[in-house]
Amino acid sequence: MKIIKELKKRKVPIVKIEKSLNKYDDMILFPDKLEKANEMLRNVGLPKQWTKK
Amino acid sequence: MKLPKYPLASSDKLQTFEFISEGKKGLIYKLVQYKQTNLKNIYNLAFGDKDHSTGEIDDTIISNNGDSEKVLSTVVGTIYAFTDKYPTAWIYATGSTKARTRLYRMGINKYLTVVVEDFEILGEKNDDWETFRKNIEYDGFLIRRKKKK
Repeated sequence: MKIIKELKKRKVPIVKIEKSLNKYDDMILFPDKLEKANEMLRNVGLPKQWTKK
Repeated sequence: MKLPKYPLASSDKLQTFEFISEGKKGLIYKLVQYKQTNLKNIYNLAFGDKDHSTGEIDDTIISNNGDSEKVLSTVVGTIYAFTDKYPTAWIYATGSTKARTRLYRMGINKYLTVVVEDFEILGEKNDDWETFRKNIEYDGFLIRRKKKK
């Protein structure tokens, strides 16, 4: 019971490694979204809040 | 976050995750992918449905499986898992439509007090970045894990 409670409290989920998913890492599954993200980086750029030293 | 989540499977690199949504329309396979953008260490977060028989992926489909909170909570779980492996990564997320972006914003709003314990979040507005505030419409979000003290 204690283990179940501990598992429920975890913020980082337990993830099963599934080798069949490795092939997707080399593919762009959502090209439109990636293009949108790159466009945002070109137009908006990086946040000053996080890049100021 | 103590919300119910679906069990997660992942690739070795923890850059692609899979889970199965269970709802009124049955079982729907979901894929979540973190893909590096043109800038090093900045990843785009995207997710969508996978047709289990054809393997085809669709991020515009509205599943209406009646479990959107559990799905969002599971996606948040992938952010924890991903940033555990890549703690300095920045993650950009936006919806495929304005309505979808609004749904993400509502999800962040709802669990903001919990999320800000572990993450810093910026909102994209008028081609600029600001610290995420509740009830503001944003075009996208940038997330990074807080450094462990």
